[in-house]
Amino acid sequence: MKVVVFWMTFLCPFFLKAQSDTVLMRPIEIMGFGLVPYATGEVVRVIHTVDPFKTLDATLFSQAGVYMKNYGHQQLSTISFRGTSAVHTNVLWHGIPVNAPTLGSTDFSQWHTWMIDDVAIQPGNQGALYGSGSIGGTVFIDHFNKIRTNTAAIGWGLGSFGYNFQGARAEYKKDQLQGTTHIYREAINNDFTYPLKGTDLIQTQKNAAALSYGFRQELQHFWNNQRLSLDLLLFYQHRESQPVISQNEGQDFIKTHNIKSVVEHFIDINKRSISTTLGWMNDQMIYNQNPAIRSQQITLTQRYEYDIGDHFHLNSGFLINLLTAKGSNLENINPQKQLDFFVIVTYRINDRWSSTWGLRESFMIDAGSKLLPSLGAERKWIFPKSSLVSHAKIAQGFRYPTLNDRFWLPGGNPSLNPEQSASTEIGFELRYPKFNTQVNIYQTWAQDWILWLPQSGNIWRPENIQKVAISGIDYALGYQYFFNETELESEVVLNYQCSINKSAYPSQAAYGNQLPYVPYFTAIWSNKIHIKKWTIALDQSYTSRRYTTLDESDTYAVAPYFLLDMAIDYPLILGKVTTQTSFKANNIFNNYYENIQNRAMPGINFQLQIITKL
Amino acid sequence: MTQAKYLFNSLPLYILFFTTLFFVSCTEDPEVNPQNVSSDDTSENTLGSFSSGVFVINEGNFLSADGSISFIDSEGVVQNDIFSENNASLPLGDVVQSMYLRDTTAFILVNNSNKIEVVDGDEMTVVHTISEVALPRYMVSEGDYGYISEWVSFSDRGRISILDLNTYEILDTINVGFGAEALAIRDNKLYVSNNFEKTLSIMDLNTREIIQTITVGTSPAAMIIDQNGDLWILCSGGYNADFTLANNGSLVRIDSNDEVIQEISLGMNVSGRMAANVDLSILYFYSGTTVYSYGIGDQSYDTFIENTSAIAFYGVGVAPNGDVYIGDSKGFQSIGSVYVYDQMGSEKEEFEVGRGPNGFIFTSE
Repeated sequence: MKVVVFWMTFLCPFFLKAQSDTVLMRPIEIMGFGLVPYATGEVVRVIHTVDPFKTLDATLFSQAGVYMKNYGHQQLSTISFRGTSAVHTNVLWHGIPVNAPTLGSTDFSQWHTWMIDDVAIQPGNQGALYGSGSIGGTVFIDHFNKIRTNTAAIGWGLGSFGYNFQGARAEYKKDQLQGTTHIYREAINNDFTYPLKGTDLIQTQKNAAALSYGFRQELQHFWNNQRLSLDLLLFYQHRESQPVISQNEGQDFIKTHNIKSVVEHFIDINKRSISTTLGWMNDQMIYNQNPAIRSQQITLTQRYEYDIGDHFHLNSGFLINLLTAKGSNLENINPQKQLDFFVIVTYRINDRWSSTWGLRESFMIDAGSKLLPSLGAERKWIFPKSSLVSHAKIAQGFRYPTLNDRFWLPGGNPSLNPEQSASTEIGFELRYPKFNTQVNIYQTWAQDWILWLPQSGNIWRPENIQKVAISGIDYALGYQYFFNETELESEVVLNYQCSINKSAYPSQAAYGNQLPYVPYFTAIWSNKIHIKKWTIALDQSYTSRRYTTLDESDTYAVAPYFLLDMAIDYPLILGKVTTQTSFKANNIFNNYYENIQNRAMPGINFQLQIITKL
Repeated sequence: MTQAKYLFNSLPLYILFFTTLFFVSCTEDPEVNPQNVSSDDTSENTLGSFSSGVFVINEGNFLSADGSISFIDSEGVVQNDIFSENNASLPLGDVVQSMYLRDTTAFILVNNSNKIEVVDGDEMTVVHTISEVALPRYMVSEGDYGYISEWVSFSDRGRISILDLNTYEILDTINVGFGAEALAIRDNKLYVSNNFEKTLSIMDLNTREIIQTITVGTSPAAMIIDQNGDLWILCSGGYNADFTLANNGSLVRIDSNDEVIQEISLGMNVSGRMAANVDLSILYFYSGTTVYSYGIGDQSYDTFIENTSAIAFYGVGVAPNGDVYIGDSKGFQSIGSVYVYDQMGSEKEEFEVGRGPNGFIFTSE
């Protein structure tokens, strides 16, 4: 039944399109190089943060179908981009790599969209000028390109399972100074109920409460042709660790403190610009009563951009990264030094042809170095009522071992090599004034992936052992349909991915099988109907079965699931004050589902959101 | 298993470490209760479809609640996940540490789910669930009472819970050392290896008081009472200050006067699991993918088998016919395997079982 509903709504827009040629726009937004200056390629996809009550993991999944591994509701959440694991996605905040130095990955549930201006993603391993780990793709969070106005907003939310949210933010601009301040608090008891598999019991989730605070302060000063920018982020989270369904009495918790700060100086001199960025990150994590694990990162980057004539654009620079960590199992680690150089040249042959050559060289003291070439080309066809863009890319990628990989006691392996990858991609995008569709086909070959293997004497040790071949298709479609005062906006995202183990580990039977927790298929189908001031949103998603073992054991596989969410929005305008009220119903079919094996996710639940803007 | 080791395995799922471990499970737990292969478990029984063969305890991936029980019958037919199969898909739980069979009742100790499932050994259906336990490890019984070792936590002393086998009520708890692990009963005394220490606690079963604490080797784990009535304790060995292996595993022998009379240095760290042949004259233990044998009274141990194609041995047991069963966790990357060797060390069979096979209970009609 639910699948029927999904496909009916999937096919419905095609029917509508067949009925009318009044499809108007393309909600799938592609933005160019200049808007994300840390990207190497041309095609970057914008992720809208229009729902400021979501965490970034939910936003990325709902708009791009990027599979996120949620360890329970409102719990830790990591990314699996194009069939890779969390360490294979590079995350850049104002161009600074922010994956945790110890773990090499990002908990996206810590990033709340209330605190963020812009998010964009670029799939593939050519997606960043520098840094490590962009084998699956790159997530770009914010950069200093906003023109602020004098506005303020207060947000308030209330929902099922004791959910409550309070947030305030303000933007201001005066003369040559502008800035924005954001603050929020979010809490949830998370005491949802779910049917306990194999029983008639309805179990109430325990030990899954979460509390988060965040503060952001951005300031920018402009003078002449220069800009000095500062952004400071403070996060605090105290989360009980949602136990697996058969262990409902768990009492584990995790506390995290994060400080992220960045200062950027930008100067623009006649077709050329130099930006210099200094970042400092300090993360602390406490698990239960154990001693804290602390990590620190200091990053300096400089980019030099230059338009050479009308055809060439040069983007070059360097990154210096100092990483360190301290904890009971991470003792006496000397700061790890990383140095990257990059040169990216974009050659626009004419209005139709352009190409991008890139060369990166990365050095990590005692962890090797990598020379990474990349090549991309784009061809546009302009028709009277449409355009077609095709692009092709080939690039190498890599990932340094994390500090835990190298120095965790016991077992850390300082002699690990960087993981390596090579990928190629071809894509097409067809744009009508009223309709947009795109398809990307990709293939990645990776080797020396790091796995922790059991050794004698109860020790586990990471080794460069795994080879992986990843292939897949991303498809997206967007359209808009008008009827009298009614507007229908829809977007479809379909991702198919095969991430195949090419190592005979742990046995020959594992060779050729899908990696754990990589769904073959994810689908997103989002619809918005605007009727006068009302907006009704209907979002559906499907995530296919995920294996949890390399032998594709059905016994341990996580079942596919389908979700249907609905929201109704209404803006009340009183003078200069707009109050946007939203009512949401999530998981309307009240499906029991698991994102991670044996971790319950909630059934139907509701949220009321009110945002007052001045 | 040391605290640091356990923390190492606890953190991944909570703090993203799993991204490098790739769903690696709880690592080697250094224990299997030799009582699993005691006469209780191999005696004649009325276990119905499970009356002749071997139960395989599959620990499951840490924090995934996918522990299970498999059964390999005497014809070599494997039934996996028999607990869930017979209980309407109810997941057994997280870290199935051990199983104790008393007549036709099985007690399945699920460590990280803080529970013991009491099941009818014939049908594998749940009879009762004991939830008043904290990180339970192993169980033995004497008369109408069961004795359960519990870690409790990493910062509290371990304890022994006394279970009424008729009502399944916990009657009393007695604190022992940190990391209460394997259990053995001799002369109306309960022996408890304290895995986070270097000690063995001895409890008088009449007074239910700790009457003696003996210093043994580092990380004491499995215990077996040999044909002479001496108690053998396998000590896994520890770590140096820089977390490198101390390679100080040992076999410690305690006589009937509860005095240490022999200590055999193994020169390496070993798993804490051990099994004995039927006449209790040979002990089997392992490190990595090598199984060692020690003949009672010998001065040293021998290599029994080495399996270079295995990934990581995780459990050992000896069948009534003398065959040696070895569990391979496959690094928790896939379902586990059980290798069967004859008494000469020749491989006879291999079975695919559940995830992380860590122990065996043999049944015979």
